[in-house]
Amino acid sequence: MKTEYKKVIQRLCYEGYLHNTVLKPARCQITVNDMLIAGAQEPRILEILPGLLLIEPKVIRNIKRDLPRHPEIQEAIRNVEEKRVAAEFLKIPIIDCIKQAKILQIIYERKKINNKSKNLNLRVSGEDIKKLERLSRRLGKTKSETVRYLLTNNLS
Amino acid sequence: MKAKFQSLLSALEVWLNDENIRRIKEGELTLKQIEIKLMGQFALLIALPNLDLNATADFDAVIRGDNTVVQFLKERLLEHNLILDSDAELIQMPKGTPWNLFHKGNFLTVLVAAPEYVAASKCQFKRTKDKLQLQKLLRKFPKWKETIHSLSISTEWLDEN
Repeated sequence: MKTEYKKVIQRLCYEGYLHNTVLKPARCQITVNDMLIAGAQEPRILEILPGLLLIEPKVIRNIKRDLPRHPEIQEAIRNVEEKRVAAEFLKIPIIDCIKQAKILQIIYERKKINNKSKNLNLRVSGEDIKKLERLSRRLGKTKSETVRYLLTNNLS
Repeated sequence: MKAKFQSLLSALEVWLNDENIRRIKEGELTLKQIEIKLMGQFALLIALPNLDLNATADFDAVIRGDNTVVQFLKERLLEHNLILDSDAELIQMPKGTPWNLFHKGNFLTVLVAAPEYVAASKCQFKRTKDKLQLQKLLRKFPKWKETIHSLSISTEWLDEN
C-alpha cells in the first residue's frame, strides 16, 4: 500500500468525506500531490478533490504553493462551480465531482455545527446520570449525543 | 463500517419501538415493518469488511416504509457522515440478484445485495472510478466472472488500457 494512498484515505475518513473498511481515520498531513498519487489508485479521491478545495481547502497543505502547478485541477474547480456537467477531470465526469461537492457541503455544515458546541456544567442527581448512561448504551451514543438526540427528537 | 452500521440499526430499532409506544398511547397509527435494501458501493463494504475498499458518503439504499422513518434514518445516517442517495432507485441491480439478510429486528429488515451482483451492476456502467476496484475484486474472486457473464454482462472493458 502506497504511503500517499494510506494517509489520504485516513485523512479523508477523519474528515468524514470517505469511508474505508480497514484503515483507521487519522489527521494525516496531505498535499495536492498526495491526492493525485492516491487518486490514481482510488478514483473516488479525484471525485472529491475539486469539492474539497472549494469547501474545506484547509484540509490540504501548501495549496497556494501547489495549486498553480496544476491547471487541470483549477479548471475542474471552475467546472464544478459553473456546473459544466459535460466536462471531465482526469477521466472522472465532472457531474460526479459536482455531486460529491454537494455532499461535502452537507457534511461540512454539520461538522461546523458540532465544532461550535460548548461545555455545559449541570447539577444532576446520581440517578439522572445512571438514566443517561443507560439510555446512551441503548442508543449506542455518547452522553452528549444522547442529550442532543433528546433535545432534537422529544422536545423541539 | 459494518459495526458502525449495526449500531446505527440498533439505534433505529430503539427509536421505532419508542415511537410506536408513543403512537399507541396517543391513538395514532403505528409504524409498520421497514425494509432497507442496500446496494452499490456500501453493499460491497458491508459484504467484504476485510478488503481495503472505499466509499464516498452517498449511501445507496432503497427504503420501503413510512416517510417519518425515512427522515429519521436520513438524520441518523448524517451523524455517521452518510447521505441517503435519492438516486439509489436508479441503480440497476441485475434480475435475480440474491439479497442477503443482514439484520432482522422487530421493526427493521435490512437486505444487502450479493457482492458479485453488485460487481455485475457496476460492470454494466463501465465507469472509470470502478475499473481498478473491479479488476482487484475479480482477481480475488475469479468465480464472480462466471456470474457476471451468466447475466450477459461483459467484463472485456476491464482488460482494456
